[in-house]
Amino acid sequence: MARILVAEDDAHVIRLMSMWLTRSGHDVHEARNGNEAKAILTDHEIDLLVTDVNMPQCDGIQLIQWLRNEANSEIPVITLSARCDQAKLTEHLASVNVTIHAKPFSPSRLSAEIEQKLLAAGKA
Amino acid sequence: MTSITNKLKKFWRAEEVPRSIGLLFVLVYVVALSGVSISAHNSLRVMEASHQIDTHNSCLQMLADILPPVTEASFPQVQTALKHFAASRQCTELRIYDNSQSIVASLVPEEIGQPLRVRDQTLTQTPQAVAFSVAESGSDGTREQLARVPMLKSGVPASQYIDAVFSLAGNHSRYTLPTWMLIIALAGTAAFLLVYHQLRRHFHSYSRIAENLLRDPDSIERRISELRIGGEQDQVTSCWNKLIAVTAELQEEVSRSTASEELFNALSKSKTGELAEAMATVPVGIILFTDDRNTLYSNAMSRRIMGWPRDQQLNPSFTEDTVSEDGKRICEFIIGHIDNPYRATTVDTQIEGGDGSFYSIKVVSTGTHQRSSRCVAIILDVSQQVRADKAREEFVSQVTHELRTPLTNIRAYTETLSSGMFDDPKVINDCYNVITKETRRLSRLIEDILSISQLEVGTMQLVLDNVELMPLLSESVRDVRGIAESKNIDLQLDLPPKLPTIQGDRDKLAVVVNNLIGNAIKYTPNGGQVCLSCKATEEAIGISVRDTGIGIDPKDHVRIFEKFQRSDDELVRAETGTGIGLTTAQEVVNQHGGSISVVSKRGEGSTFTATIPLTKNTRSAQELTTAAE
Repeated sequence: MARILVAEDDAHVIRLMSMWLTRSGHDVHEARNGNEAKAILTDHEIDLLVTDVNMPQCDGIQLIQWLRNEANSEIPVITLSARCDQAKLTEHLASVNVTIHAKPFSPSRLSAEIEQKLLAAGKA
Repeated sequence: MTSITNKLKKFWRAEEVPRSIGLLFVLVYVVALSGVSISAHNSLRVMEASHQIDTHNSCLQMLADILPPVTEASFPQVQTALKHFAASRQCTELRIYDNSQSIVASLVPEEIGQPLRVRDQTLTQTPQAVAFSVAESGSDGTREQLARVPMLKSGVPASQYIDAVFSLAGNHSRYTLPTWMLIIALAGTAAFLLVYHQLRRHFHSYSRIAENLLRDPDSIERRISELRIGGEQDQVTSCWNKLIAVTAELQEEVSRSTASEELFNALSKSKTGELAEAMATVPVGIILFTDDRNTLYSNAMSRRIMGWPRDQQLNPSFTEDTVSEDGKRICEFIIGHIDNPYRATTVDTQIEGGDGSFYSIKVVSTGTHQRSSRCVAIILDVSQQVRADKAREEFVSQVTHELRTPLTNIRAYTETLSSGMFDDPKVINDCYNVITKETRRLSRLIEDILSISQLEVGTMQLVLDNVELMPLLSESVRDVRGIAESKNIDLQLDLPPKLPTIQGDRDKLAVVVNNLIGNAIKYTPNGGQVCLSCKATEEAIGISVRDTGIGIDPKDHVRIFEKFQRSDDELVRAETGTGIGLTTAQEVVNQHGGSISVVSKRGEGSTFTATIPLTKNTRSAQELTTAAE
């Protein structure tokens, strides 16, 4: 069982991810924006972060930069993005070891990706 | 006859340069050849004869030196010596005589004892001197040398003289005149052919150039690039083609900058006239610079953009402290073209104008033709275009995001259902609900995009019908209640017991209400309040959406209704949006004859009210009430 944080401002996406990840036996934490996600990452030991890019208050890019530079955490990160500049985003995030999933996404594929990342990090 | 005349004319006009020059050359050549040959022949003859005379003289002198005076004793020896000498020196006559002019020895024995012949008297009579002369003899032009030498012996004056006649062999030269002519003709012809061949190539090139130019002299300027010569590319042709290429390029550049030249001329001629007035009022900045960095002319628009004082029309120098850094940079760019009158260069840049607003400008600068120390620049204010481009780009980005968001939920929940991994009936029901809601959201969004598209091309038309407001408003609130609950927003619906039926387009009015209430929920923080209310009067109905959200700065109250425009407030930018919702709502309400108003301040919430007048066909609330009773 791994502890996974899902940061997403769309309630439907959070609910869906919780359903899939809980069914796989993971402990899911939910955040509606970047600031909530920072608080959870600070207070809890999280094994993997799934985050939206466009979020109010603190967006996904700022959250990842905070995670890598200030929290000094190297946990696997998967981003979900509905933006049209995916190539630019991929280039921007490649240096911080982040995988990007474009929206609309397949929950089964995303779940498989999460399991693969956890396995690689030794958290499966 | 005509052809000969034509040929002569062509020859005279030098149209057939190679052939005519060639003929002329041949004529001159033949005459010169004859002269040179004769001259050479004669010169050689003279040289040869002169040499022979010198030789004969020396030999005769030697003979006189070695012969003893003629006496009876020496006579046989002298006679023998004379014969030998005559045989060896082509001497035709040889005799010795004494002071009494009697011949004492001779090649011809009969002459001995005879007096000297008259012909010999033509020689000098000076007995002590050596005398020579040359005389023509015979009809064939042969010549003879007459010679006379004294026989000087051991200091005793000679009393005897030797007369000799030599045949000069001038006509027997190794080469005769025809031979000389042939030799010189061959050498000259070879030289001529060599020179002519070289010249003819050049003449041929010049001829082709002339033909090209004379083909259509009036249109040379229009088709200068067609004057290139194909075929063999010798030096002249290559140079000509290079010249044509450069000229064509120059012609193109000249035509490009003709406009600026005309402007300069017009301005300089009628600065106080109508043109100057027109220049002063056009919404395009125009500046003329001199090379001393002073402004020769600047119209009102350019001064506004550059931030120069309105009344400073003449000779402001852009190096002054009053000119902004942006202004100096742009002026430096313009002045950089002062020595380049054939190239107009464009730059896109920004500048803070005199009125404090930022201008996006396009500067086109070029030097003037006639006065190399001046240049003209045109400054176009493209701020609106740049804003529109930016807004459109942002719109595409936002629309993409907005379309993907409901699509994400539709796809993800559909896959969840079809996976068969979740069999809880409540979960399955929730999935269906989400798919339904997101499909409607997507549908509304597409309606918005279609509406804005219709607005763009001016084809939006209302489908009029009797519209019951009560269910329309209730349905709109029901659609967004889920989103409101997720943000803990208190969503209220405040309606009177009865509402009139209005004449309108139901779907488009629904879009108006959805957009207003959707914005209210989007821009109201968690725990806020949103209220949809409706009031009816005799003349109109007012649909209001009031929220306790972030509010709108009054300076943005007009802009938020413009296409693709959103407030620059960072709280607004934190939310996704396309900038078309309010534009569409306003257009729909306007088409119903109404208007939308906004009352809002930043941080104090907003109230949007759509007022739609009741038409003659619309039944008022009072009539409805009466009917119900």
